[in-house]
Amino acid sequence: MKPVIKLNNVNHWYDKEKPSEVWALKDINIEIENGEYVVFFGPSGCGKTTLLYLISGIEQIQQGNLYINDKDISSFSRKELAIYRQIGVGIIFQQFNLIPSLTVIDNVALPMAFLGIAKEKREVEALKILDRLDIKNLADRYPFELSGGQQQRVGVARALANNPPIIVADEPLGNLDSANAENVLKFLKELNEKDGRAIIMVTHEAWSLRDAKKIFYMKDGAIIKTEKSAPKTVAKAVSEHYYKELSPELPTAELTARALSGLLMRGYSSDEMKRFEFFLSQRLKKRIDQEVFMRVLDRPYNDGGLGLWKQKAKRIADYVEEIINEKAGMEEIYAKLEKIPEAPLRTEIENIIDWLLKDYKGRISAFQKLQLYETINERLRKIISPEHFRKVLNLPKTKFGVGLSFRTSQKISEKMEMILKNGSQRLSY
Amino acid sequence: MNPPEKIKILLIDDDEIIRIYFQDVFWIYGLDKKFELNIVNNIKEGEKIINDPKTKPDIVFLDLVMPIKENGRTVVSPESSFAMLKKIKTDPNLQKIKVIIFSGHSEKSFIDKAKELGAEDYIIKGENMPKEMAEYIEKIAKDYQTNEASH
Repeated sequence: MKPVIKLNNVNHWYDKEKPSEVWALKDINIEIENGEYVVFFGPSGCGKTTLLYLISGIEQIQQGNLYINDKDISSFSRKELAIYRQIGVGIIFQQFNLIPSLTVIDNVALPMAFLGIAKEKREVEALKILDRLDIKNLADRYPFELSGGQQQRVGVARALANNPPIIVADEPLGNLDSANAENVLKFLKELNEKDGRAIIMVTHEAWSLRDAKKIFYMKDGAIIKTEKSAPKTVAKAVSEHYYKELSPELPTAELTARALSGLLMRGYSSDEMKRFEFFLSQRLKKRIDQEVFMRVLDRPYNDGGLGLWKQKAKRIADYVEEIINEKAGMEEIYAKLEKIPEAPLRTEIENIIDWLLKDYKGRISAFQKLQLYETINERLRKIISPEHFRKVLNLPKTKFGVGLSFRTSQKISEKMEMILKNGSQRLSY
Repeated sequence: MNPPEKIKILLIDDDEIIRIYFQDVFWIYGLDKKFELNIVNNIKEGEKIINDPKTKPDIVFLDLVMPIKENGRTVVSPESSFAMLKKIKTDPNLQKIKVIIFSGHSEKSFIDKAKELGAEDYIIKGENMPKEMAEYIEKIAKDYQTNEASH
C-alpha cells in the first residue's frame, strides 16, 4: 500500500540559533500507510508532540520533507497549512480545547465554518456527527455543563467535522477516567477499521497502545525503534518494561519535569505546561543553564517563551535550582546508604528539614521537629511510602504524627518526593 | 499505445482560499491522480488556457461575481463570467466544454441566466462538504466521459 504520510530526514529545533536552542526532532524518516493505526510512544519531551504538530500542519517544517498523499507540504505557506489542516486532518487534544462560549454543536461546526460552509449545512452535518457519537442530546449545551468524558466526545466530534482521512490524537486519554478512556480507544478503533481513516496517536501510556498496528518508540527527538504490531496484553508490567527500556533517566529528569510542571504551573493551559515541562527537562538534564532557563520563562509566549512575570519567572527558576541542588545532595546520601545502610544522616536530614520548611510560616516545636526528623529518616531509607510520609506529617501530635495541616503536609511531601530518587514516579499523572 | 488522456479541469476564482480549498480537495481525495487540474484567479488567464488547444479544459468551474476593470476602475460583477460562459457555449470549438458555475451567490436571476446561457450546473459555495465536492467532481467527470464515448 502507498504511504499517505512520509517524512524524509525531518529535523526540528526550538529557539533555533539562540543560546536555549533545543534539537527537538532528529533525522526522522518514517512512512505511514493509508488507513494505518500508528502510535508515537515515549516519555514527555521526546519530541512526539512536535512530530504530531508537523504532520497536522500546526508547525511549519524547518528541515526535511513531509509528504501527504505524495505532495510535499514542507514549502506550504501558513495559509496553505491552515486549509490543509481543515480538510486533511482532524485533531483530538488532551485538554479537549473546546471554545467555552460556543455550544456543543457550534464547537463541532467550527472547522466547517472555516471552510465557508453555510450555517444550515453546518448544523445538519454537525448533528449527524453528534448522533454518531451518541451525544446529539448535548447539542445545545455549553462545554462547562459537560463531564470530562462528554467534553472529549465533543472533541472527537469536532475532529471529524470535515471528514478528514487522517485523525491525530495528542494524548487523548490523559484527562479521562478509565471508562471514558476505554470509549475513546474503542471509537478510534472504529474510525480506523470501519471508516478506513489513518489514526496517529501520541501517548506515554503503554496501555493505550493496544489497538495500534505500528509503534514508533521515541526518545530524545529520535525514533529508536519501530514495531509492527502492539503487544497483545497491556499489563502494567509492559508499561514499566518499556519505560525502563526507553529511558533510564526518565525517573530523574522527565518525570520530575512532569511532576514539577504540575506543581508550579497549576492553572496554566496544557500548551503552556507542555512547553514549561520541555524546557524544565532540558534544564534538569543540564542542557541549558539557569540563566537561559529563566529567560525562557520570562520571554513572551509568542516568541517561544512562557510569558511569565519577571518576578514569577525568577521565583520558579530559583525553586528549580533548589531542587537541582537538593537532588544532588540526595545522590550523595544514596551513595552513602549504599555503602553503609545504617549510616547516620544527621546533618543531611537537618538540611532537608531546613529546605522543606523554608517557606513555612507557622511555628514548629522541638517535638514536631524530632518527629519530622524521624519521618524523613524513614522515608529516605524507604521504610515508609510517600503516602505514609504525607499521612504522618498530617497526623496529630497525640498520635505521634508531626501535626501539620493537611495542605502543608501535602506541600511538604510533594517537595520531598521531588528530590527523592524515583520519588516523583509515585505522583500519578 | 498512449494511455488515454486525463480529463482536464479548470477553476477560475478570484478568492485565494477557494483556490487552495479546491486544490486540496483534489489532493486529499486523490483526484489529482485522475484529472489534470489548472487553477487561475481571473477571466483573462482563464481565456488563455481555454483558447490554447494544448490546455483546453473539458470541464470549467467558474466563479461568477469577480472583480473586473471598467473604465480604469475595479468593479465587482458577474458580467465577465456570463460573457465567458456565453462565448464557450456559442463557439463550435469550445461548446463541448462543461461549465459549472461555482458561486457564493444564490440569487434566482443569476441561476436562471446561467442555465439559459448553457451552464451545466450551478453550485453554491458553502453547500458542499469537501468530500461531497470530491464526489461531485468525479460524477461530472464520469458524465463527461460517458458523453464522449457515446458520441
